[in-house]
Amino acid sequence: MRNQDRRPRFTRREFLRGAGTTLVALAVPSVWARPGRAVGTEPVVVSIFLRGGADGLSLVVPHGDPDYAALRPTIQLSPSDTLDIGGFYALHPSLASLRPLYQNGSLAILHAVGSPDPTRSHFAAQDAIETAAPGAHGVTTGWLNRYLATQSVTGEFTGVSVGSSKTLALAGSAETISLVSLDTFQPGKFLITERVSAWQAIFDAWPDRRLSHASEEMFAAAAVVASVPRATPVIYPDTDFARSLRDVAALIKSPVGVRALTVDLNGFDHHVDANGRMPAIAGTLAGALAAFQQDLGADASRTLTLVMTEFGRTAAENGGGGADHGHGSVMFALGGGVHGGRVLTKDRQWPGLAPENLFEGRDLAVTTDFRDVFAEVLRRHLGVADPNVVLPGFAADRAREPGLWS
Amino acid sequence: MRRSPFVLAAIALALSASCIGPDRTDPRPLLDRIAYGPSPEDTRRIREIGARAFIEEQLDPTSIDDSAFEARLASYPTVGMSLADIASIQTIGPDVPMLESMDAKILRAAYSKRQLEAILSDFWFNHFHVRNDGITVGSYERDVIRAHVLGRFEEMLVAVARSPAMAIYLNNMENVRDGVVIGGVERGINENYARELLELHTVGVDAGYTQQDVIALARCLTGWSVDFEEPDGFTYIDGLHDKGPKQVMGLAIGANGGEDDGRRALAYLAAHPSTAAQIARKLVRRFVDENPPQALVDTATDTFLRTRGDLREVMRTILLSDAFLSRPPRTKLKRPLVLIASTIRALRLEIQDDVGFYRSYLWLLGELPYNAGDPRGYSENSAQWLASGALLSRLEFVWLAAGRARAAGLDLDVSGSEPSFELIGRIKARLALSRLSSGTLQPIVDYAEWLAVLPPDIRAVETAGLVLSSPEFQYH
Repeated sequence: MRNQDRRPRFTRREFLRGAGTTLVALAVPSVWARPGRAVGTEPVVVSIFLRGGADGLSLVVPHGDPDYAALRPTIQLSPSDTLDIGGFYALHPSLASLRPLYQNGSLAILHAVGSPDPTRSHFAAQDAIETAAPGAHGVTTGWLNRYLATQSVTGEFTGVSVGSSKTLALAGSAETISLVSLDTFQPGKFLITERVSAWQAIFDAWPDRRLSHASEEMFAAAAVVASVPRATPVIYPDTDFARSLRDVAALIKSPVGVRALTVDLNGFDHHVDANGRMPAIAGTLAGALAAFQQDLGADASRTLTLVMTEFGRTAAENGGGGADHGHGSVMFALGGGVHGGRVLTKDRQWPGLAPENLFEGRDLAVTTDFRDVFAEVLRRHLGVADPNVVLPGFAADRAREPGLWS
Repeated sequence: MRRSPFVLAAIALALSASCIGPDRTDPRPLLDRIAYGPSPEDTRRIREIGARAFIEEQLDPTSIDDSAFEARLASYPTVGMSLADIASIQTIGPDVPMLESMDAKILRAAYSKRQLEAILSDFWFNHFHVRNDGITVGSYERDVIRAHVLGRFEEMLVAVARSPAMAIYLNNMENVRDGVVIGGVERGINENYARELLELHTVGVDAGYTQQDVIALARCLTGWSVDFEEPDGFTYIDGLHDKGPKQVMGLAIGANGGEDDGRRALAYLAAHPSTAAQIARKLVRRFVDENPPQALVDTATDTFLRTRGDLREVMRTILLSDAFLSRPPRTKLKRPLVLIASTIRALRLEIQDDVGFYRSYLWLLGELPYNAGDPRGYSENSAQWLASGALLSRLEFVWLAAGRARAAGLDLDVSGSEPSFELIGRIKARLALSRLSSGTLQPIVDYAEWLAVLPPDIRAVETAGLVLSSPEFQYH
């Protein structure tokens, strides 16, 4: 019998103790213990994608623009309702927990940012950003995967999607994994050693070698997850998104060596009732981010969190108290030593909401190409000397970088 | 106490002797591919009428009484609704139709007697994938896809092109002639749908078309738009149509045409030899092998061309071929929907109000119905489904399913206190597994021995869970 000498030392009595249910919780066997790695010093990037097309004009309101209020007779946010950040702009009231981070300089905001691709299709626009290949067809690898591929250290735990499936940003040749949550990947609950031994023996004997390879990876990943301490003194909000960020923080703080992680937040497609829907989802975003940043502690300085969306929404509201698919929106850059406390726009100019300044006559223009943001992140934060290696078909130019670290 | 290796080998031989290698009289490998795994009824039916007659029956789904399954759908009121009705009840929001369409898909896979039709509906939905919007998807799968899976390919292609689901998903409703002004904004060609129509839906990426062909095809389809007041949600708006002459690959279309420009282009693409070859290869990959035998692909391509895209004839060619009937078993990892439906069928689980359990495992396994991330739909590629996180959930799912079966009073034909080899043999028979390799059997016997002092219920569930997690069940 294979692995006889690796048999666990727990007894049938211990098995019986939890045997009222099918899933028997037992201590993680020592066979999975791995040599510890020093707590990380490598830069980490966390990409948060706001799915649906988040309305940048409501998240970071340009009160200084004389055209703003008239475009949105019913869904405008008044200066007294919003949180002033320097006169021209104000944060949505539900982003209150981000204001201290802005004020202490760890949060930078990019406005009028987005993709040069004019598509208003969610899928095309999301794909364009995650592949960092707007307009190109057939690019199936994500920019974060291509970044990982440039690094000498690879392994299944350098890139992690926390969510139902692997995000496109992490898809590609570098090994990455997706997990719904650390809890659903918890070997102590299900991978009791007797079962694992049986599976290993069965899968090893199967002619399709890919099965044993996949199972080895899975058992190894489970072992790594088992070593990730989950305890945190920080109280996160009671949302799925916050639980995902708690898992992301746990992975970053642990010695498993994560470098790029992605989390999605759905629910920004506000064609109707924007003022009814935005508070909850914006609050979900801000509450989780604030807890996450606090939880990271000493690791916050090496962890850059980028919050992005596929496009903004029309400058004018529609007939349903919402706004339709638009163009330019906002990005947030949190931690990682950014020079925050600023709203960054191209040449420090707000593109304006007057009719002649709107993209195709209806949307906030994109004056900062998201790839210029990615290029600066790659060069300044992730140490990729030539960002063009990760951004094919794009001529990165330092002069166009938004200046997150300047 | 453990049995000696010699005894185990003898048991393995005894358990596997009934079926070594492909066996044309055994209904189970057939049901592994043209059904979501064996069910007792289907196994019995094949024994009664034979494999060929069973295949013919499945190729004629309206001849099969499916009222028991239809009755199950009664608790999902939005599933049977017309497109117009569902579009008009949006006060309830998209969530209810979205969930009901997903749950109906699980029920159909598990319980419909029209198994081949269910499998083909899933195959063609993925071929013509759209994302679940909670409005159009139910009628799209029912009226556009399932209605045509054993009909003519061109009719399905046209129905897809007219469907609001596809018009919205791949933006053809925004595809208008260059220069048209809508709401003060100058609009123009959107080539998104035309490109996928060539690359994914018909001739394939290597068929030699150019960017000019993509644009010309998009121009043919300008004016094909959406109107939820119409029965199929389609309307043609001549004012948005590009009236110039077009050249789509080998097809020349003169100036001043209308809706027919699109019809002609679709007919041309549906009849193209590259389309026939791409469809044939994809079907053979699904039903026979991931490395499709070229001879069968060629024969199926010929059938497609000879019958002008009669998909029933193409399926008949494939399913009655030696390459299909004599294929080596278990070369493909089951996709999550196949795994979950075949587990329900094998354990004879009855879904009552617990469909959420199965839906959440489809989600964990990465195949939430109608939710594939790009226009290619969910992959048929085993390697893609072997991703490490999902493998753990696969093992967990079958274990929990075995536990649910036992908790629901299904005894799996065992008490749990049988000698190990008998326990395993009974479970294997109950799950309609035709053969366990010795490499699988021995660790299961070891495990069952190790469990011997546990309560019989736990031993039965644990052993069944291990059998279900074995590649003999995970592959098909």
